Amino acid sequence: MANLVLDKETGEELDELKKLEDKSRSEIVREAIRDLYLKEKRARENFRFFIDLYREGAINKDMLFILLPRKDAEAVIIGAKAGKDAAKIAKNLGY
Amino acid sequence: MRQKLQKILVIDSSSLIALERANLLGKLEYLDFKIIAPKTVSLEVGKTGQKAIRIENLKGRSIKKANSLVGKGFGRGEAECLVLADKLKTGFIVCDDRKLLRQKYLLEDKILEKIEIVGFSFILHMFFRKKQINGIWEVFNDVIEKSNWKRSEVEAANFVFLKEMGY
Repeated sequence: MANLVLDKETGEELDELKKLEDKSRSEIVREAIRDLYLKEKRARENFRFFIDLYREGAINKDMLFILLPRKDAEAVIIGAKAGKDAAKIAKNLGY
Repeated sequence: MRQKLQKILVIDSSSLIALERANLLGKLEYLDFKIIAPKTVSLEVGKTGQKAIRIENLKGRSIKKANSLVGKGFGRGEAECLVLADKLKTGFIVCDDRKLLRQKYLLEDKILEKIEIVGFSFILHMFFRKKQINGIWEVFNDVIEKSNWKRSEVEAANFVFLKEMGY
């Protein structure tokens, strides 16, 4: 359906994956796109749900990176720390 | 044990602009805090017409400290807020700058260890307690939307703050 233009390095990595996983190039590309698509969809539709899971300790950093795009996982980890520290300040002030 | 902190808010342009976009700046006068912004922040925000915000000029060593932070990659406004908060011993600043949140998490720096960062939701929390806003989550969503902070460190930090405060 589509022609892909890959640079030399990516082409070599795809060939290596093909041997390692015993899958066709098309299968590997399809799986990679599917994985990226699902991560993006999860982040777009359920970002706050994942923040809550992480805040409550129901999932850890590694799980965030598996489930969400890298930039979203980083935002949750950094934001959760900042938010918890900010809440301590507010409580110290008696608010 | 409750830490004793002065009731001063040093506020950055990121939070001020966000509050302005949501038409909340006028409510700052109802807070029990003296609100201070460094000169650079007031230049970044422009004229707000808010008497509740006092503008403070950095002088002498404070300017040198701010310049040193700028040299390390901090934004000018954020650097001045940190130095001012350090000088006034407030213990924290109100700031919603993504870059500063990342720096706070990733960098080891003396001033960042001393000064905590709270976001706009800290102010929403106080507005709510003072009955200046109804339904904190509606206002929160409005600020996030208008400031284009969806799926960012700023959204996560402020969301976690409100959850930790029991909303």
